[in-house]
Amino acid sequence: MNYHHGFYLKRLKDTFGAEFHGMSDPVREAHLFRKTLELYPLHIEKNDLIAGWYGYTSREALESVYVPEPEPVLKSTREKRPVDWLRAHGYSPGGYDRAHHEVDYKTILTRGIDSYIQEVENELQNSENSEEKTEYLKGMLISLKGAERFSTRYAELAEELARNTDDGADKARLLRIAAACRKVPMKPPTDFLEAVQAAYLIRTLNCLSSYTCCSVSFGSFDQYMYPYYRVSKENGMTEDEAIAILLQLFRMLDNTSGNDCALSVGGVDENDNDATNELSYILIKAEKKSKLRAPLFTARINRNTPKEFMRELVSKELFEMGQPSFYSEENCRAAVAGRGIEPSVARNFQISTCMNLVIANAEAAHGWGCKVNCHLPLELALNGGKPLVGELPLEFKTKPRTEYKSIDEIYTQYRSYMIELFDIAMDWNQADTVLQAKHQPNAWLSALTDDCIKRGKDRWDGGARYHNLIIEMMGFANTSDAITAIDRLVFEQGKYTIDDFIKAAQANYEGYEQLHKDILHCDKYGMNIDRADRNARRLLDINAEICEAKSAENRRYLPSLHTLWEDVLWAKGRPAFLDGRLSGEPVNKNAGPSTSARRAGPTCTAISACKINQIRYSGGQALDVHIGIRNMDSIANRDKIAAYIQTYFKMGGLQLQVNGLSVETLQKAYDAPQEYSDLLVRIGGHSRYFRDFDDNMKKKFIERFKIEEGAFG
Amino acid sequence: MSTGTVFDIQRFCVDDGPGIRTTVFLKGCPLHCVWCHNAEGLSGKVQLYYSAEHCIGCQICQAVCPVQAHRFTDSGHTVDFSRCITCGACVDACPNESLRLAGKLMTAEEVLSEVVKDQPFFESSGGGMTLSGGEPLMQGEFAISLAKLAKERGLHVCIETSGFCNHETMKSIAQYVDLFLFDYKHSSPEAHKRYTGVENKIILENLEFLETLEKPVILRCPIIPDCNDTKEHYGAIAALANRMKNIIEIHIEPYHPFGVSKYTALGLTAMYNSQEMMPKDASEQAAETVRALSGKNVIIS
Ligand code: SF4
Ligand code: SF4
Repeated sequence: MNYHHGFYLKRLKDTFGAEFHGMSDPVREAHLFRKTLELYPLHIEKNDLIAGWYGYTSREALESVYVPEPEPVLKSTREKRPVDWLRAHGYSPGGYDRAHHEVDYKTILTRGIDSYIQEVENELQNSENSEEKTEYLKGMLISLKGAERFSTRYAELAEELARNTDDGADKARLLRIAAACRKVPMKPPTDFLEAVQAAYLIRTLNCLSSYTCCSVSFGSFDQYMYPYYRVSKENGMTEDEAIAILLQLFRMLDNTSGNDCALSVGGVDENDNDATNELSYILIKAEKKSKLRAPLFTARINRNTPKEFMRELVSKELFEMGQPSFYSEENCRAAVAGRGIEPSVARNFQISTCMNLVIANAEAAHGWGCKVNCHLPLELALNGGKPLVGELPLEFKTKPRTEYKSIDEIYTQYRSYMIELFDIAMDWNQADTVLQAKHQPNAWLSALTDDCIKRGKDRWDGGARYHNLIIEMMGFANTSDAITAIDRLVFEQGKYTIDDFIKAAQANYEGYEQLHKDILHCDKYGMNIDRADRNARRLLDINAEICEAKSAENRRYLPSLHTLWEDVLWAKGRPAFLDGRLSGEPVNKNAGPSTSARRAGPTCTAISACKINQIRYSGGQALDVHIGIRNMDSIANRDKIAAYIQTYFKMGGLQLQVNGLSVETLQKAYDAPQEYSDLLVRIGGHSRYFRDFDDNMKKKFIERFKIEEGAFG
Repeated sequence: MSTGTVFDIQRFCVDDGPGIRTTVFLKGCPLHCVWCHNAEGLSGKVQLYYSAEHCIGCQICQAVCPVQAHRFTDSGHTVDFSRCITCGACVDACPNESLRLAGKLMTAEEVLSEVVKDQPFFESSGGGMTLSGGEPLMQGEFAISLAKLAKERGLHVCIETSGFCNHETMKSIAQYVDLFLFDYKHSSPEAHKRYTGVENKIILENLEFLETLEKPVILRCPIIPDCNDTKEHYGAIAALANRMKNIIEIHIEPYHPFGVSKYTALGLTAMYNSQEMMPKDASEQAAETVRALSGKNVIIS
């Protein structure tokens, strides 16, 4: 069981705050981190091959570290601002982000933490350092040295356990762990076990330093681990031994973070040749065997990804687990370069968490940045500066209007409101980030991020070369569908007025059934109909331009179509929209269409999604499709899905999540037919939409599927 | 301009020929196989389709219907399909998509413009267009126009056919078809007539004609418990496949009951309405027998 990290943080500060009172922020925070590393209860499980942290295993264990006398040190200095009004209308301006980080494992493994200590010590010698910088460097030093204590404690524990066992094999296993932990992560590893041990310790330190395991990722594991794998293989390590190490790693990840730690396979080398290697295949085998949620398995697909590799990835076992997520090497790279990053740097992007593309060695990435309600500016534009439901007592500079002759005019007004809303949200976000970075700096992570040592600054406070904040465009498809419907039913057909739309949505369409039906029958984004797709692109481009224009210094606001599960959760609190979406119903998921347009199926959805200039949305996005192929054992069928994925990428897609048939999917489709209206199932050589079965048949189909295909989970 | 009645265009089909395919379902069939699970394909006409489970009982359909086909009594909503003139008024009015018209009049160009939208996927996967039904060759002229247009666009064309059509139609369409998915329903002429309503003489002649053209054929064999799930039939399938070099593969299609509800929705009665799927081991057994006897690639689909 995991205990919430916020709880841990509070206890830690409450307990030791007084001891470090009066010290500078970075030094105090570094001491708190060091205390954690010295005191946190460790254990090594029976049969463990590497030492590792399984998370906060019990509340008792956590409490045993503290004296229970709370005495808060840092009080929140946040005050209420207009931003709180925005929150009530579906804006989530974010703020300082502890989570969503990834470090450059390749470099860190090659260098060893000792070399960072050396670098900080050298920098401390610089006589031109300001006091602020010196304090920050001291914080780094305390943090980096804390790492040694942490790994040594593991070594000591392993040695003690080894002394207490008479079993020779067990003793050897424990002594092997002890030897590894005496060496890494301070010194570079030399073989596979040491390298995995080092990477896991570093990741644990990353988590503990930020008091969260949320979305702390591994990046291109098969690439940077391959040299170590080869050494071990040459020294006799078998495939089963490698898989055993990986299975333990996955188990620990599953315990600490669920499925938000991205681990990638595939990619290209420095000459753009496909770089899939033996370890890539072994990782897939381990993943299939583990059947755990973690890691978040991601596949980097390029034009020359081998057919064999695709066949391994397009597999029933992985699809049933919702894995992997496919990324286009070429398009992701172009997207990262599109941020204004030199191509030679952009090519080193890493996949972090569920859709972030990061430059791991040089970036402070705000992954769950700011949620923007795309529909709100449309409400303000059409309803004279007021939201459809509730109040928004902000003084807008935009002059309210209610009369429109064309959607062009609506877009102009939309843009104007969005700029104002965005400014409020982002200015707050920036203020909060700077404040938190000053008072709760993370010297450990900053030391591992390029330039921070040289600058003596926190990665969030101007230390890192890139400071990227993701802007999530919530409900963009619903909003553009509303504009498409207005264009058709108001401007083209004259059948309704904008006022009719507003009143109907305010009434949640009760009493406006005909209008509701007419709206739902209008063209929608995601059905491969140009008119609707053009509106989606136009709306998004306006929002993207606003994000881009706001970027300043090293800060980039990265537009993204990322919604994760918020298409359901966030949408629960949102009233009816002007596209016919009823109050509380989901909004469009990620880059996909609104629920009513999903039934167009995966080919239409993919083509529509590629009419958006996806590389401009470098904050990341996935397209989620359902492919109801029962017979995934057939190589021909797997090749068809692989061709679908490659075509999506050829057309410009960034990321694709393919959901196969599973008992879980079918059950969800049974419970929420609207959200799965595109689920086509194949039976007896024919395809039928699952939604079209009657209740009895749906149940029968699920039952049958359970028996024939074997239920997962 | 050639026009036909289409009841569905399905994208991303994987069982209707090589690669990713878009399948066009044409209405009407001269056969009436008792086990047919695509009831919309039987009649060549546009039909009203009523899904009772979506009906919320608002009675709007009754109000708009010019011929009083919708009735509401204590036992609920009933539709008198015999009165319906398929004017579509109730379909437009129904707030819950409980009603639709099965079948739409379309020109070949209109159909093609829908199909080619998926061209990027055809190219990468080696897929294309598949004509299905009903029996697509019942709308022979339309099917030929579609296949011809598709070929002109460089698409790979498949057709799913019972083979029951006049020789001329088969001859014409064969020029534009790359692969035939050809049904083989029963080996005995009498049983064929009993279960499908027609004899299999013309069908076999057409199949032989395709052999003379060396047109590749996938033999599709519905296996229906108590109709044709016999050793003799499996033997006959294998014998046919052995005899004809152009039969490249055999598909075993075990009976499933997922089409039965469509009959009710169209106001029809299913002739063979078993609610049970054919057991998996029985279909595997059938496939294995045919595989052993024919030595050809046999797939259960
Ligand atoms: S389609 Fe027309 S005639 Fe048929 S039931 Fe509906 S309203 Fe009546
Ligand atoms: S209009 Fe539709 S929902 Fe209403 S009673 Fe008729 S079929 Fe049922």
